[in-house]
Amino acid sequence: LTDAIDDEPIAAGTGTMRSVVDRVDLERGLATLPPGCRTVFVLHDVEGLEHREIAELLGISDGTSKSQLHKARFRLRATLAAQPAGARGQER
Amino acid sequence: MTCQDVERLLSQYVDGDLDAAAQAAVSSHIATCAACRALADDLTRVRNAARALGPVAPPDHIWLEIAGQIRLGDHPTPAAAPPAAPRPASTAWQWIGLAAGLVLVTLVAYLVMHLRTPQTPGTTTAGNGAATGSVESVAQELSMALEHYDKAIAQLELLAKNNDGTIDATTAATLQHNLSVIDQAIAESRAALAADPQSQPALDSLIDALRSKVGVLQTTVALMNEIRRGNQEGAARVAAGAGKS
Repeated sequence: LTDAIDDEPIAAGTGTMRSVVDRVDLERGLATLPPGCRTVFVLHDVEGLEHREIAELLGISDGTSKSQLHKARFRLRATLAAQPAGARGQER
Repeated sequence: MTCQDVERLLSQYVDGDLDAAAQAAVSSHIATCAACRALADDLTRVRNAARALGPVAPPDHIWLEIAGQIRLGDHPTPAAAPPAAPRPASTAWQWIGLAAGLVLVTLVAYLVMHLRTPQTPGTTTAGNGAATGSVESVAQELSMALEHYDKAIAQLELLAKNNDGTIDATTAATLQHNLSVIDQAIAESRAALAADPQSQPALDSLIDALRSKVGVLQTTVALMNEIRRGNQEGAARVAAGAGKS
């Protein structure tokens, strides 16, 4: 898994998210995340595991788990902010 | 504390994971900085939306497609009684299985690939670098491959048997039975190799069976990841390509 760790720098972005996060939009955003930070995000934010547990399970440090979660959330925020209202209806 | 400092800490801040001093410093900053406050609100919304996602159940037809991709052997064996296994408290265990399985499968694929590199029978280690041509090194690599392979199988079996409703029971049973058929082929090849360690056909047969199983595992893990990510298109693509290798 360590090969999949996302070490690319991220920026906060300037977009604005809608006040309600659509489930489908979030799932699509998840699909675009690099595997490392996606795994940590799902384990922490979806499944509710602690960083200590994630670190143990994936063989990474607590700090790496925290930084991957940070990156995943910021990337998701950027993705969701980039989607205009009603984007779902326009796709496919 | 600058906006940049706050941004670095914001993910932990929304979780309340910072120490008291840092938590207070960030709180103080966002009370007066609208941009950082908006960022904190967005991160909180992302986290809360993720918490509301819950498990995503794979459609039954996906599992039937996987089962259909598995090459059935000539000697069906009765399905072994599944060992008692603790029921997982949440689908987190499935993710643990997937993550561990993926790593192990990658290792197995690597080792199997190396086993498939041409080996000249009777070649000694002299002048052959890392002794890749010696019977001992082949046996050692094979042993390592089998060990990792067994662990990967165990992870997959956990997924199939510790079914918390994500996987349809009938499909899980079909999958498990078909996998056991490949296991039978592996067991027979291992027995043949044990009887005659120099037998190239037995080694080829074992490696082919291993590759077949690794292929099934890789496909299954990839498919489950696609489904878990909510990527039905990706799942269908993986399922469609499962029989092509």
